[in-house]
Amino acid sequence: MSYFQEVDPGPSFEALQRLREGFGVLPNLYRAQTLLPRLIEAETRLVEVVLLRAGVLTRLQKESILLGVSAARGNVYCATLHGRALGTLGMTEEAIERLTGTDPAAGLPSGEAALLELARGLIIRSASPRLSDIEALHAGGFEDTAILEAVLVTALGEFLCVLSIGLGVEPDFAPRSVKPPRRPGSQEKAPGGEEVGPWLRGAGTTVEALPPFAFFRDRFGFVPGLYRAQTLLPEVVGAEAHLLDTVLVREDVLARERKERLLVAVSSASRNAYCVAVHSELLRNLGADEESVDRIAIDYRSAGLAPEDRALLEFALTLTNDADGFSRQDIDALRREGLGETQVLEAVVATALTRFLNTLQAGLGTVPDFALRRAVAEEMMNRKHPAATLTKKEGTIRAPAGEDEDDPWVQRVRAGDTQAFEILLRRHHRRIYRTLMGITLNHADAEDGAQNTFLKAFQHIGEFEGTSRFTTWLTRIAINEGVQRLRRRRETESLDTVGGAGSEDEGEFRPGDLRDWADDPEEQYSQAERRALVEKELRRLPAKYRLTILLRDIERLSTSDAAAAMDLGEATFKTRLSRARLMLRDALAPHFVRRDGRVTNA
Amino acid sequence: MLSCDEILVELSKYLDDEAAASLRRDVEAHLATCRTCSVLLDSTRKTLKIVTDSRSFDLPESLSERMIESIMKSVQSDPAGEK
Repeated sequence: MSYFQEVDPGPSFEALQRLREGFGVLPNLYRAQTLLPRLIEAETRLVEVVLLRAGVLTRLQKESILLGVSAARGNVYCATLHGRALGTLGMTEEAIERLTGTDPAAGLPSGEAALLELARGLIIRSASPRLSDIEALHAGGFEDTAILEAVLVTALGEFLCVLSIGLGVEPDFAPRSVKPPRRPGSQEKAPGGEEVGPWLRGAGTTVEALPPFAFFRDRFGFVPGLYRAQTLLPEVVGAEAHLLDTVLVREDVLARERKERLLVAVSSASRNAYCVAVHSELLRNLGADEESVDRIAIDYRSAGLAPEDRALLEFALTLTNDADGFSRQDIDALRREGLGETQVLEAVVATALTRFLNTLQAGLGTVPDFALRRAVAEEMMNRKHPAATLTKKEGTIRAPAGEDEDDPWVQRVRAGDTQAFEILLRRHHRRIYRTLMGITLNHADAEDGAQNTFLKAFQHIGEFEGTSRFTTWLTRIAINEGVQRLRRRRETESLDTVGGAGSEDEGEFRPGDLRDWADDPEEQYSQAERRALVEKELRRLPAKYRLTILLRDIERLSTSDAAAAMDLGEATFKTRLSRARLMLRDALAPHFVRRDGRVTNA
Repeated sequence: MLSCDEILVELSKYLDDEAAASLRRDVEAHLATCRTCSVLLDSTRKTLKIVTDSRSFDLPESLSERMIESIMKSVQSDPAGEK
């Protein structure tokens, strides 16, 4: 009935009873996981809060989304399960068949059609909703909580589909045939493009006390934005935390590090930059060195992993990318590498969990908690989807140019929507803080300065004309704020040349240390040591040079945006940037030169 | 042929991939014959990678929510916001 042995977890294990009540049958999907009852228990909690328990959306609406997801994935097991549920809820067979056909939204009211399109877009194109999609849902009578539920149900649908493939379960009823829609080719660009969310409101700013956040603080060291974006439904965040704790954190079957690697590799294959960034950070916190973490995101085969660890990632990626090709042979291959049955089972669930998180993140469009390391970001930008069954857009990597993704929120704030300002604040507060640190070199000044910068931006947003990007405008306010603070501190630096057209007449800069650098200079130091070194040397640079490096090489603004933020012409900015980089190079050289006396064949 | 001084001026353009094809060719021709500039270019490129990945001046994560909360509070109580 599945690839895994079914055992009796005993009468005291009541999750199976709850599932039986919720579905009207105990789905084979759960029977196949009885080797590890804790997985069933944690999944049950998620299914209850997302699907079974009454929410804003009705069960019928949710099951319709689930059937739409199953059909989009061509997944017979799930289509059978959800088709049956819809029949039980009173939907006609004709209507059910329409949902699995080529035009599932036909005949639905516009709001419900928009809901279904949102789900199918996420699954088929992995396309994050555009603001216009969200507005269509609002117009159709669906508020933010309903939309959040719809995204969650879609992610749950993906979770169940991946599980059913990995577990190899047979349908619970006479199988329903589905015709999977044509998948877009790998060159086809998903719509949505440069716009990024988040589009949905959180429950407000004072959510630190939400109990499930304690889990993330304890186990992750921070609360990822993905979970902050769901505070409208605190019970769901609780169930997700419990599932992460059960599947990812517990180490009695597979070690945490192996599972984090799996999350990074699967998220990377799904081109979900957000999840790659979060779980790379967690891997590093577990003690993995940066280079090897990067290698897993870029190409795990070159990461120098042990054969059984490589096989584990290969297994997870086949399950992710090749639903039709996945078979018992993949399970056997992993067993041959010495993995036990429960380990393989946990790998299946961890892969399904990753796809749940990827889908959820794409649906909510949360902005990254961490910048991706440059090498990884570039690789992911260039990546064509491997053996594409699903075509992914660029996730949350910011496009270098083009439309201003802040614009919809700026418009809302201008129209008097104060809460919309929080979105802009969340997107930019780290950047503004760093910019102010770069100028004032003082935490208290940077913190107060950021406060003033955002308050001024809010007060004067009516004067922002949209001739530059919002970030450029905001950065310019921050630079003025920082310069004023320096003045107040009466620093002796040539303040008038921090921004504005200062003279560049200090004479030629002559690079000093011309020894060869090591091949991989960063490997000689830990992350913390490198940060300390770079900060120390940046502090010694004159403010105007420090700021060019900060904007261009740390904030990664484009040359024209960075020049505009400093009120400089591009040519002047580039001259200053070249000098700043050479100065910093000189300052860092003694730490990174080649020690073995060999000569680079540059 | 570009001089070493000219290479220093064009360095950022070249590293940022903003150099036109003709300039790129000129820079590469110079690098092929000038060891000093090759070392400079190589080490500056490595500098940028180290700097970009350094997370310098990052806001401590523990302060992030506090900052958002305090700014939203001041924005919400700002009379100028009542437009």
